[in-house]
Amino acid sequence: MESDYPAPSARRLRVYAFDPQTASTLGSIGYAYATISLPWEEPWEDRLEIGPINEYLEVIDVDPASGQFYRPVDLNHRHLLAQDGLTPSEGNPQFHQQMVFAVAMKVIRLFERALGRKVIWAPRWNDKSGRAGRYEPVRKLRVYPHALREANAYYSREKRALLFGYFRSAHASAGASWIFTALSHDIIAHETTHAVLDGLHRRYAEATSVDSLAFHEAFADIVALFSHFTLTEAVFTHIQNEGGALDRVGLLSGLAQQFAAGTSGHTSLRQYVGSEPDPDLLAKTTECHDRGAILVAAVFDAFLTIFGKRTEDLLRIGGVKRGENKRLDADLAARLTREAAKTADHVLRMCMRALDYMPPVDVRFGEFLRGIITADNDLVPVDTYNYRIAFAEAFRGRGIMVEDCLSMSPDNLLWESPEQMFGRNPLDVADIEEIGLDLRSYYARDEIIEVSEQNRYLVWDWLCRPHPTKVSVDRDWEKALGVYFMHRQRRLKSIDWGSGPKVEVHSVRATRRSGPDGQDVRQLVIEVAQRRRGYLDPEDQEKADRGDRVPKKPDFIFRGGATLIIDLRENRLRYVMRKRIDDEDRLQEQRELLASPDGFGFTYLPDEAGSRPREPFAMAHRGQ
Amino acid sequence: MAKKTKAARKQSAGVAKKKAKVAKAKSAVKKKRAVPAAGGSSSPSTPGPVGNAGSRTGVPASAGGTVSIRMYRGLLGDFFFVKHSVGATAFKMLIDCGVLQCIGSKANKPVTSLGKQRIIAGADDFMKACGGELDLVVATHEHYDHLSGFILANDIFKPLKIAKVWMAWTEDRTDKVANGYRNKKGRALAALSALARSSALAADSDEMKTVTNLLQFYGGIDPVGSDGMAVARRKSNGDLSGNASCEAVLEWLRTKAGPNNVSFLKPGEVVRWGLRDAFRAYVLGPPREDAKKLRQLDPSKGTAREVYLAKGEDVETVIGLAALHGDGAGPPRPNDQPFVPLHWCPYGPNGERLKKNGAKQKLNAEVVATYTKADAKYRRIDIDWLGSAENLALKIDGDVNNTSLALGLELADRRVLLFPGDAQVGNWLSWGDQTYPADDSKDGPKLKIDEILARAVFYKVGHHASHNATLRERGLELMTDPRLCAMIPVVEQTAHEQVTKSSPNGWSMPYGDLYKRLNELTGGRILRGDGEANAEKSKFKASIFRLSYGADFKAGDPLWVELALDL
Repeated sequence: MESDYPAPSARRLRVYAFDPQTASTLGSIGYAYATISLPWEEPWEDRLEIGPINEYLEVIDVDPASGQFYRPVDLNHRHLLAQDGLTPSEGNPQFHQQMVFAVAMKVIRLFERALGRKVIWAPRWNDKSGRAGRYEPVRKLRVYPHALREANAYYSREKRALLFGYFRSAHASAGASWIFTALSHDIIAHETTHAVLDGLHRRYAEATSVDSLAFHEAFADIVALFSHFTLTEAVFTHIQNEGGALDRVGLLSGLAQQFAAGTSGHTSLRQYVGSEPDPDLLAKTTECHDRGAILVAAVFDAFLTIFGKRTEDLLRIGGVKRGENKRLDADLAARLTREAAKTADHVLRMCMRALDYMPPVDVRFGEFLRGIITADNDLVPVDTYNYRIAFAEAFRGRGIMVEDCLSMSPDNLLWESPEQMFGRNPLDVADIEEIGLDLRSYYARDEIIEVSEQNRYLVWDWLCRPHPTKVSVDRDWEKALGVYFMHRQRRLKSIDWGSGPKVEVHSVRATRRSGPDGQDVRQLVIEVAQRRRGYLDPEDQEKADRGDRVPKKPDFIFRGGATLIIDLRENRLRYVMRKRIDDEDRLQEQRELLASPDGFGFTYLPDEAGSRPREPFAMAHRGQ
Repeated sequence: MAKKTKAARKQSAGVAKKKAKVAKAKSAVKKKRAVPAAGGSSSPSTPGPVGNAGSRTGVPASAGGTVSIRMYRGLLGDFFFVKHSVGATAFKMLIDCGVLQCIGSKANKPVTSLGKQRIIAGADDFMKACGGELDLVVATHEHYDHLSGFILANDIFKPLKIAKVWMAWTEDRTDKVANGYRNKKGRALAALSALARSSALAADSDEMKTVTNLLQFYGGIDPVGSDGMAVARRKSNGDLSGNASCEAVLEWLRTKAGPNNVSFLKPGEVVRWGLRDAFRAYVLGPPREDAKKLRQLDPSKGTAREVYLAKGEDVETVIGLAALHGDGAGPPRPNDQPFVPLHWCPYGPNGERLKKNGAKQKLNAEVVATYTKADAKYRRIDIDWLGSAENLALKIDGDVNNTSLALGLELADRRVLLFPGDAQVGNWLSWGDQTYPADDSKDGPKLKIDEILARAVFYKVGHHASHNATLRERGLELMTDPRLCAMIPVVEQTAHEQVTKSSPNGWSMPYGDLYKRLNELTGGRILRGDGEANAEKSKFKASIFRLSYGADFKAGDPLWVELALDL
């Protein structure tokens, strides 16, 4: 198909804007469909093949429960190219392939734009590779649109795949006898986000605190929720009918309507408006989806505040009071819609950018807030619309507090600089040059993966090798990172694995972002982590820490580590977000969490240790 | 709530009336009759209770005598003989009789395989002890480890005479809610059993193993035939075959007692037991849920607590899967396939095209090759869908445990013996949904569950002391009587033999943390099915109960252990 004609800029694919239920209701038919526009494949990327299979994804439509292997769709067929792909239809598995592909790609592109680099999937640990096993890169994420016959969908870490289920509806309100999670925009976006996030922070999937899994869920919901606001027709209709208010229960603020209708008969799986902020709720909520919902609600509150501020003047000009039951003038509604889309886009980007500004292990909601504020501060120094205050206020309103912070004002929420933390900056400009990192820009993901592996090794080697002359240099680094890597007398022996302490360099990645006023931020993000044998019994723990033999295998792994952000323009260490490996309070918290699983505390305990890993990212958890 | 209390009131009124009737009947009929417990109200046609055990004359009206609880040992299963005796007369009651089924080889499960022998010896001893006549049988729920004694020792139990049977309301054939629930469960078991028998599916996958492991709780699964696997009915002569289902056992019990002597108990009711109906028993569970009410609950206002989790559509789905994958499945039926035949494209285990079964489409070689590539095997999803069967099996298992008839047997001095069956969290939590009449008077004072639990001096630990069948804050921690003792019908070695890939140590029964707490609360007064007699004796020196053991089954391993309390 090579030709002299220039390649088009975008590939357009039709999808259900929400899910097939919206398309079967007269009131919403006007905005039930959407067309997703994906950038045409770059020359260095894999071509889009039948499947669809491309640079990032491989959609394989095998349905073992039904014994079928559905025909894959060929999106390059000229009949499909000429009409933006297949027409949305529940009855055609090929359209299902098209829709999962399109929505998942849309989410991937959103992340790439916000983070300023390519999305890479979490590498897979192959214990048969090499002598001791090693991580192998996973080039493409598998997508199975019809993997399960149950009301469920999940990102499987084991398989590095998205598994979507389908099921018979229990309630007539769903408007279909079979419901496919692969046709729900929200569910696809949610599960894809799990996969992207796992690629960024592979230790976030571990249950280290009540916040950690909840954060994964919350972030997946945030992405699904805010991508609703890219659907201009739906937003327009809502704004016009509700008098410019977005804080009304509706399609925009709810998730997975058809899934909910088909399983429980509720109108949406989760609804993010209509619940008054309750600062005490967070402390009482422990189930991960519920707890995550509080975080999402906080972000949504911030969004509503910002949207309100940005549109006050417009409503005054139009002589309208917000939320009056008056149908808005179409021009005004169109302007408000643009503002809503823009605000949602900003809020989503702020959240995504924060991902680089968070510790590599054991994330807490408060740290997410600090990440949002700091990342935004770096890129947009002047906060004209008071976005950062809106965030801080919304989080406080939902009871999400930040530990060790003077106050909840944006200034105080910024991560400390190394100078503030240690009195001096441990990083020398010369250090970076000495390591010899390859910081050039690459476009092909294969090259990016390769270079990132090299850099990872270089940093690891540099960290582990003692400084030739000064011990104090190494000691400073240990302090800054909150981990130990030197073979000297140490208090903590439970971090020794074999010959000594092991550190893991998760990632070394260069990012390049541009702010609204043309700011160009080039940074290097390095994640270092360490593991420590954890025991439920404090006495066993003490023994292990002392280096005495403990007769049994560790009950759990406790991790510490740090994320370093280095400004590449001046080769300066800007921030250290660390979780110390010798933080006994944190260890105790994790112990308590493990002792009362699911945070229930109802009964006397969880699944036995060593049981088969349940899929932690399932929409619905089995057997509960 | 108010409604329920009213029902309970009605209940106790009914009990009183019946008692009057009893007195009349006795004066008229000169035969030797025991007064069995009065039943619940669910069978209003119940005539004055008639029994045929022990002499009744000369029993004082005050409730003196001795109450004893005997646990048959060496069983991962419940087998309890409760007796109230005054002089030579006694009220005899059996609470469950079962042992865990041994699936797999003797070599792999040496201790589990002893269960059958143990329960037969136990049944033999028990028949002698009760004289072949029982005033009351309580069948807590439909699980093999609570009922299989009647199957495995069928010959021994044949001559048994049963005056009365208590079951949970969920077993009532005249109750619409119960029928809906049971019907769903029955269909689910049939479908799961069909999947488990399928030769096309790998029986050793973790998902499938879970299913088989759970199916063993509903009946004999050996031999694996069309009538086995938890769904076998009674033989035409009414006897129980070696692979009979637990449902068949319940039917056998009902037939033995006669239709008018079976009571289906609802939570909040108070029923009578003991000689001359001396004692009261509080029916704590299983909870009765109004399905309609549940659905009306506003999801935004807190999550509804659901006790019975298996939903109709889960069951439908597995039925569809059984139709597709069960043995003898024909060409796919359109209703079991999500797409119309135009899109069908059946494939074989290696990704080859299957021509049969109405293939309309050709496979795409490249995509199939990507899927079957050797180095990407870990990414295949061939059996992940079995998760829905596993999920359903787990839900059904929990649901059936939650239909446990949970009883607080009260003594004349208000102390309570707690027999919760295998009630799980939902059942325990529901005990506080109602109050319990404190005496037989109409509109009399009401008891809260906290008060009942605070009086417990004996706790039959639920579900062999697993992690999820003893509620902590709203359960065990409320049992504050310092005299508390506990019995755990468990054999730890048997539990550890139930190994799967996912749980290499088998089941943890008794569960460590719970066991530790029980030990603290009882001051070590715990009797286990595999307990060491001498150690137990030393712990019980200061107990209000008298401890005794039966004859040795093996050297140093008595057949039963008994606690007796003089009133």
